Amino acid sequence: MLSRLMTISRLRAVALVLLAAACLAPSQPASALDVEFTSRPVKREILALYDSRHEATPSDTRLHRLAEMPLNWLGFKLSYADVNAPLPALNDSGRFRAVVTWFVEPLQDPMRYAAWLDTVTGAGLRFVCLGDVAPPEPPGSEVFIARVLARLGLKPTDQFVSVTHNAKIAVFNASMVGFERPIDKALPEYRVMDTVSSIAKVHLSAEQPSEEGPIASVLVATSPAGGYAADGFTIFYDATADKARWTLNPFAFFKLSLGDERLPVPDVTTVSGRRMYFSHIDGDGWNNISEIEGYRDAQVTASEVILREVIAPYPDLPVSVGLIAGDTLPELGGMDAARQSAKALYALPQVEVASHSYSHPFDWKFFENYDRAAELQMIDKVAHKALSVIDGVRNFLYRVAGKSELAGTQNRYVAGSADLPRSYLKEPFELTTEVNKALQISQQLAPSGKKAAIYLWSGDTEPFEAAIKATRAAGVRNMNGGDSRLDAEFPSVFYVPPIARTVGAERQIYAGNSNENTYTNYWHGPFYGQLMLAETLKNTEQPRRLKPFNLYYHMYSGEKASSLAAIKYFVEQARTLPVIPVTASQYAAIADDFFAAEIQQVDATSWTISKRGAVQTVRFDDAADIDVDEIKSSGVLGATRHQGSLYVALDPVIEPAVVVIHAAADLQGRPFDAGHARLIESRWQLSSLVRTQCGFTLAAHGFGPGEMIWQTAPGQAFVVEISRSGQRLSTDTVTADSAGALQTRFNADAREPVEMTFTCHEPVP
Amino acid sequence: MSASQVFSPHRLILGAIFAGAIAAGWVMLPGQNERVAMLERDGHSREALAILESQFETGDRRYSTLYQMQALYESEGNVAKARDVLQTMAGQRPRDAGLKRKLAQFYKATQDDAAYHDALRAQIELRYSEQACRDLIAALRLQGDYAAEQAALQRCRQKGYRRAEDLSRLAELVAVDGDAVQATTLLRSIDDLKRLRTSQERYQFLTLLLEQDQPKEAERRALRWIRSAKDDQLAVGMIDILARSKFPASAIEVAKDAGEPGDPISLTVAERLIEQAQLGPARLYLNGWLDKSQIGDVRRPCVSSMPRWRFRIQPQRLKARASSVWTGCQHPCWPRWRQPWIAAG
Repeated sequence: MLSRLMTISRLRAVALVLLAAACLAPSQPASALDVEFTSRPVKREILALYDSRHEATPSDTRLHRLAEMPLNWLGFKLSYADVNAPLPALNDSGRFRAVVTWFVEPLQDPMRYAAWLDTVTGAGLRFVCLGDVAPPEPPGSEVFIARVLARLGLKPTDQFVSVTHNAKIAVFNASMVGFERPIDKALPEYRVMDTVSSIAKVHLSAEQPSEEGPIASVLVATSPAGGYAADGFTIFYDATADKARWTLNPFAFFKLSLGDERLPVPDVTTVSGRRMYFSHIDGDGWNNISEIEGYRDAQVTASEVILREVIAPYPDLPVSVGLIAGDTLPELGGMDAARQSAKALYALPQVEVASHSYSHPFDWKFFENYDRAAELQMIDKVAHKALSVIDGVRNFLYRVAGKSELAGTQNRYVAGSADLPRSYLKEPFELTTEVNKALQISQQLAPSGKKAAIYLWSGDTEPFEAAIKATRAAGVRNMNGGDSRLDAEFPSVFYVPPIARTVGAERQIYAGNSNENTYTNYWHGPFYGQLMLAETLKNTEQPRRLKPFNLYYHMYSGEKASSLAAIKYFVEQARTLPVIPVTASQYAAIADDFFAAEIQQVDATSWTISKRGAVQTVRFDDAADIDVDEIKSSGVLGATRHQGSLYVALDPVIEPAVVVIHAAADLQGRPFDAGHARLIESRWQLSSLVRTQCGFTLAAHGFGPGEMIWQTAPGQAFVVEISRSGQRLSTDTVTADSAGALQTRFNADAREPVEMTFTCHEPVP
Repeated sequence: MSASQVFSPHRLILGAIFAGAIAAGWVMLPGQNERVAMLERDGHSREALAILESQFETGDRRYSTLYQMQALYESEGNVAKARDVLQTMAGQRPRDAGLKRKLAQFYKATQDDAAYHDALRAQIELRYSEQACRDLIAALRLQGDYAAEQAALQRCRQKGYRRAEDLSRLAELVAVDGDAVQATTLLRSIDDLKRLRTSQERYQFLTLLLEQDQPKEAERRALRWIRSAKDDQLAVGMIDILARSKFPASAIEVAKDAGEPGDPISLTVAERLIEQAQLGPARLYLNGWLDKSQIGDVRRPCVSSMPRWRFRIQPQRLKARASSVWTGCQHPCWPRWRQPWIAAG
């Protein structure tokens, strides 16, 4: 009897899985789900092979610059390995979802690599190939390459079409090709690639007429075993404009090549259903005198202008201020007055304490194997150049006029430009000073108990491994670099960087957006340039949310009226747009934890998300047909939709979270129990949700007013009490509209956490 | 005091000098524009702008007024008003090429692509500028608007634009349209100036010449390229194209002049001879080749002479970024060398 019950139970389970699969995963092959489901980890790690002879470090690679961002967005993380080093053993390769390559230059030992690739793909590892498989494909490698490509359903040939004006496109999938630029009218040259089986889904192919009839060639294809995109059909690069655009749709290509699996993607853009807003300032230009009318005559510094115009009037918007310690140290060439403005800034509750280094390195690589003698030589060279006769006369006239001499010319240990490897050169470089002492100096200028939370990379923003490690050891987050742009000047997602840069065993988190430096032609003007950030913000929100709203600038934006106007425009935007303001360190923590989060698929419709740290949103794409079932889930506050994706807000105190989805149609008609509500979006961060007999309680903190939207029963009213440590701050009564949308706006100050109690006010009519 | 005393000559002279001084002083008083300039210089830009705006309100549309207003709006970050004023200025002086250029730069800086392209076109129409042509063509090409790119290329060419890379691109585009004659004319004009440099362009030109039944010109140019480039990869590619064309004898003609038994050129010729069942001469070629070289020797020029193109990331911060070079094994020559050797026994 027991065994019969078990059998029935198993049959029901299989039936449920199949039913769910039919409802929820239309793009998945039925065979993948036509078995009883067993809980399994979702493999997010992808082996990224590169050739260090041509691309020295992982961050120099095409994979990092072009492929990693779309892969991150799809939920995957790259582990880089040099193809010239020992390749992962077969049993080790099992942890990877796929191996991805983008080789176009000849490899040193293509035979060894081709043989390895044959072995691992034979064992079931997916292979995603952009460019060539194992160039230059020496004799003997054909058999390996043929087998590898056969697993994708392809067959290489030794034919090559160099002159293409007679070639015609035969197969064209508009959702895969022509992403940012149509296929070039004059096709790039290409190698002829056949198909050998129907498992290859061809997205782009061309035909070249010949005497023997048209020669067809696959240019882009995907299969359950991976994907292939011929070189020349991935991106288009224009040498005159020095700009590139994707021809291939990298999102669609990688999604199909990597299994087209529905999974909850750890999301680094959204919290509580809203796009994150954060702002950070690099301290460059802290002591510069502002040219702005009203400040110029009074010799007010740029940092003081920023304080008065952009930070103090906006207590509802957090901002992380990275001080260059050297700016405050007269013995290095800084100014004592800078300490006063730093104190004033850090005293504000919305200001997060950050460091922008001690001596402001421009060229971090120079300091990896630091040589003081070499640096002194450079100082000598530049100092002689700077102290020319003209500079001497100029400085003399400045002194006579009672004005400050030109920076960098009066003190040979203060660099006025990037000609030297850092700004403050008086003391020899020392990593502990550069990181720990810098953080300490920032922290000393903050009110007691306020800790430095983040280290913002300076200069070329390409720190070496030990430097990143030092920030982690110091207990702070690290960020900067990436220079994310997506606008008319940088018209491709190519210019939107991935989440982070891998440096050895360390990880540097990239900033969410670029700063005024790139918008103003490296501060040569026009100085209103950062107004164009609006384009990037729009384009990274639609058609997919790629990045948070990050307002990133330098103190020198306080020097010019137009640059200040640009910053003020965006802080006003941050006030009015439906965003959730967070600190820069919180964003960096979320970005870090994207890589740590583990996902386990429990069955066809549920996943556990563990070790997620600061990540509190998971995203399902192409989610029009599904919805989250917050009752069956655990640790789910609610969900919101954006651009076809479903953003599920998780409760930070629940570990692990369990996310259960259902067909949207099943949940649409379900009535809400009295007092039940699910979060749609909130400007405050919410946690510790506890459902009561008729209502719920939760903890909240955040910046600005408590704007929230909850979904509940139509007409449901709540009395909402906000308190802190048992002391009531406010009580409001709010009522859902006829569609069940409960919109709130609480004016309590929630920068320190508050408790919220939602209690049914009256029964639903 | 008598009238003669009052109007004495020295008094009259002094009076005249005094009146002249007053008049000169009056004339030398700063006008509104000078006053605005002084205010601007002293950092009182808002006051300066207020004066200019009041002048504008009263109908002042002088160029100097607009010029100052536009600059001040830009420095204040008021992009919308700066644009309006700049457009008014351009409307006032439709023949001012400098102003057209300024307008184009403004549209570029404010990322209004459509207006930017129109401004470049207007600039080119008014006064040919190589830079404007270059910018317009590159922008349209990057956008993938091939019809507009082709039209811009044609128009610029009519105006005197002679940038070899772009004319070669025009040849590519018209070749795809099926206009082999125009494509050939374009490529010929570039090659006559010795500016047809990439293998890809030369292959295309050669193919077009052969398609138009001009084997002698094809042979002549191929031979020149082979001799000047000293690039076995290029030579093999040329021979291959000639041999596979309607004029295979051209391949042998070129090989006779450019190669010798034992080099990769002769290998390709031998391959074609085998295809034409001429095994004796093919064996002669191949024996010479085997005597002179090892397998690896053939591969080396194949790899090292691969076409290279730089793929540089736009430096987005002040610091320079390492640029990566993309090189491609565009022609898988390895599999090819083995076939004739086997076929010829």
